[in-house]
Amino acid sequence: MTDEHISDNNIQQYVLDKLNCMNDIIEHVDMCASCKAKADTYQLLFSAMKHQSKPTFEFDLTGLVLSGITDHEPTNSKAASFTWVIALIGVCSICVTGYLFGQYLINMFLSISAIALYLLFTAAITLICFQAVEMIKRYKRKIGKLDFG
Amino acid sequence: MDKVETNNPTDQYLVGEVLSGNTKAFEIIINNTKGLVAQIVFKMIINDEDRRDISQDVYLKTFRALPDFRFRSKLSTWIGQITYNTCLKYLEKKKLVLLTIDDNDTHDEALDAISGRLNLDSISETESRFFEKEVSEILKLEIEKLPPIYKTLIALYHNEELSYEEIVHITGLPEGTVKNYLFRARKILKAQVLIKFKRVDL
Repeated sequence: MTDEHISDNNIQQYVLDKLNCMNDIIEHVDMCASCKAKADTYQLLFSAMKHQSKPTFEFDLTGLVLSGITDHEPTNSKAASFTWVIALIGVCSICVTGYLFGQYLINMFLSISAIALYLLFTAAITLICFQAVEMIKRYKRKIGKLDFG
Repeated sequence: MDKVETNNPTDQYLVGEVLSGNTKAFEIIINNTKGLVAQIVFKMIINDEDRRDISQDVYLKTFRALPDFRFRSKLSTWIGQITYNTCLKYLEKKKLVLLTIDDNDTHDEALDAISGRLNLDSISETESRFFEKEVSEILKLEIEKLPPIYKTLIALYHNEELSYEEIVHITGLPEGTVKNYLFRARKILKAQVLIKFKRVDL
């Protein structure tokens, strides 16, 4: 049996899981009034913690969630339609611009030097790469937080 | 993270039903898990209005993510994890303190002396019940003063009686950290309860 008083950590362990406690600790607590008193205090606390009243929602959570689910679906389809409209407007704008100013744009690109053209492309590709890396990082962060168990 | 052995057929059946469009099954899932969700939300969020929004948000997220649930844990544990992460995100957004360590060891000897005076063997059964009730009330107040993560861990381990493995899965904290936080939280609670008893001079 150990003569030194048992640490708080071991006393908690003794109260929670006496079977897996070392014999030295069990013997000491059984013989030492001070450690026994500490163990009894923890026993009382753990019992009180176990019997604490459990919190409950004072509103109808089920109703609230189910209404949210049914409200949610049309919003999603509206959002999808809006995205398609924006995409369509974008495509139309590009086509009209190409039709009206296509020749001017081709001439403009042909007239600038090769170095300037390379610089333009390099800058554009670098920007796209940064954006893509950022998007992947953000996606991984979100997925990591959800961790679909 | 270790795989939890909980391929519960009831969970699989309920998830299957929800995915095939049966909202009644989702209602059952809510009723089965709202106790755990309430424990986490009440311990981490103070404001009633926010509790309402967050708990609704938790189940909407669950509903949307249900096709991706792989049954590697109990459904309730997974919903607990979504709840914990949603609350954590809220607290981070509001820049609220998640954890403050006020673990004062200097009072240990004085507290041990009080602990020695709480001779539980010498009191009658009626006194014991009254005493336990008093401890329970003090404890309830003291738990509320703990940082959100400590409160949540105490509720999950002692009140909900979840295993360390389940708590690790819900919180994403390493098992050693969960045990350490629980140890510290209990120590703080013991100290606070004993201080309260010293005040009433037991």
